[in-house]
Amino acid sequence: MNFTTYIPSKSKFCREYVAIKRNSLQLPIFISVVKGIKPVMDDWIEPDKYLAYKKLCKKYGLYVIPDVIFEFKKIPTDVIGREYLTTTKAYGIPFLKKYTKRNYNELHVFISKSKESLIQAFENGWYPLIIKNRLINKPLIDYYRFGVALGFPECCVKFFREFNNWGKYSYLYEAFKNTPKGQYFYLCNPFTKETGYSYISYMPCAYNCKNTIEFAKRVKNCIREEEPRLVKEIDERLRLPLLVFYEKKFYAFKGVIRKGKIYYKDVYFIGGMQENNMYERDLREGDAVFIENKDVIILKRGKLIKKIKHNHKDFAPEIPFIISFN
Amino acid sequence: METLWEKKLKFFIEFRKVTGFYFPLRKTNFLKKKSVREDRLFYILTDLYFSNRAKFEKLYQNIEIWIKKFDIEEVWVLGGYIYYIIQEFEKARDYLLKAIFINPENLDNWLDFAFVLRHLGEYKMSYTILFYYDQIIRSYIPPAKKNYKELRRVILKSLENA
Repeated sequence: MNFTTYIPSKSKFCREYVAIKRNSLQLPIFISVVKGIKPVMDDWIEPDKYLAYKKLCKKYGLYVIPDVIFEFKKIPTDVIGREYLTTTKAYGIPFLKKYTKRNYNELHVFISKSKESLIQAFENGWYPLIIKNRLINKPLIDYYRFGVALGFPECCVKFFREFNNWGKYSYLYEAFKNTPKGQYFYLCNPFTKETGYSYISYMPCAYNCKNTIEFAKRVKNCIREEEPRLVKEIDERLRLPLLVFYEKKFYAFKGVIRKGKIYYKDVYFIGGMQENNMYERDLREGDAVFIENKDVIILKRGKLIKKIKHNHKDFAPEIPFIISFN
Repeated sequence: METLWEKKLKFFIEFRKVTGFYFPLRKTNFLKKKSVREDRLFYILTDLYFSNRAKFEKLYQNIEIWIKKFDIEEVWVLGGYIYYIIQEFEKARDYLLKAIFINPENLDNWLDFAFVLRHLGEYKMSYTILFYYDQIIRSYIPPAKKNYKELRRVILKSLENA
């Protein structure tokens, strides 16, 4: 098992999409937008592929609006507001021809079957970006309206409003606390969303959120019609046990949970940015992991090989927990 | 003749009477300050909108009265933010524009204005401000006519070759 690109075999539009994008990171979402389950999505493409992408969207009844180019490069420490960048770390540059050939650039676009939904998402959909050595961020109200525009359930947008505070909360842990013990439903698993093996593209308010389950079921059904093999692969990955530190640092394991311990044969870092992958090497050396008083304990054949001490942070707090979805 | 500070003080007292809390300190976000944002009012109002709608409504009911009484930056931005939140973007644009004309050195005013324009479909002008805010602030000369159309014309012309 791995989390690399899924190569579609059955559906023509899926094949075309993955060919243009050269990855399948947003394939399930794209399918759900084409099928009209999700009202709108935002996507990132290589700027010189924009025309081909637009053509593909048009072919399948989707409107497109380009936004700005994201330039992914190392952000120096003197950038004003660098510390507030949480998930996406990029410079923003205008979508002009002269910038389309540079490496590491991706054009941010919005796509939808409805012009109205598309405009609503676009207008609220600015990402925090560095421009002229300064973080440029949108008004807070736009964050909430963007969630609504993307079709996220109202309960999850409300939860986001309350707990998306990186100075105070570990969001995924709050959702964990908001879920009755043991009722972690795989359709509500958001941890694989950055890998392309997920039915949802947002963090639910709880891992048994009824609205999310309803939505994910519809997404799953429409993917099954197009790419049944992808459904099988997603389901398999959604059930892997996880060790979560915070929103940008978590690991999936090929293994099982017994009495609060994960016994595993393989480990995958699926938290997004590699710079946060601090423990894969340690975890690879072990075969079991558990949490004791917020410290993460790694064992090998029952013997302690590493203790990751809980580290108190004022920003992006880490409260480790173990979870498995069924 | 009332001084600017006397005017501000009067407004702050009225604001407190209506809301029960002090008007948040709002400093000018000069380019040289190296601060992402100095204004907290927009954030507080957004929070209020969801957590205490009745209080937000009170502000909404009072804003037009204050606009008539106090021609100060704080009141114009307060109006701009209230109308932004309730999605009356044309009014938000007009009020934030007034704040820019009063204090064109305040980066926060320009950025909030740029996001209003995004909601109004004025994409070119919105992107221009977001990408060239430093040039715009440094080379700002008040337009002959103080309206949006004129400001737009002046800015786009000055950045033609950017």
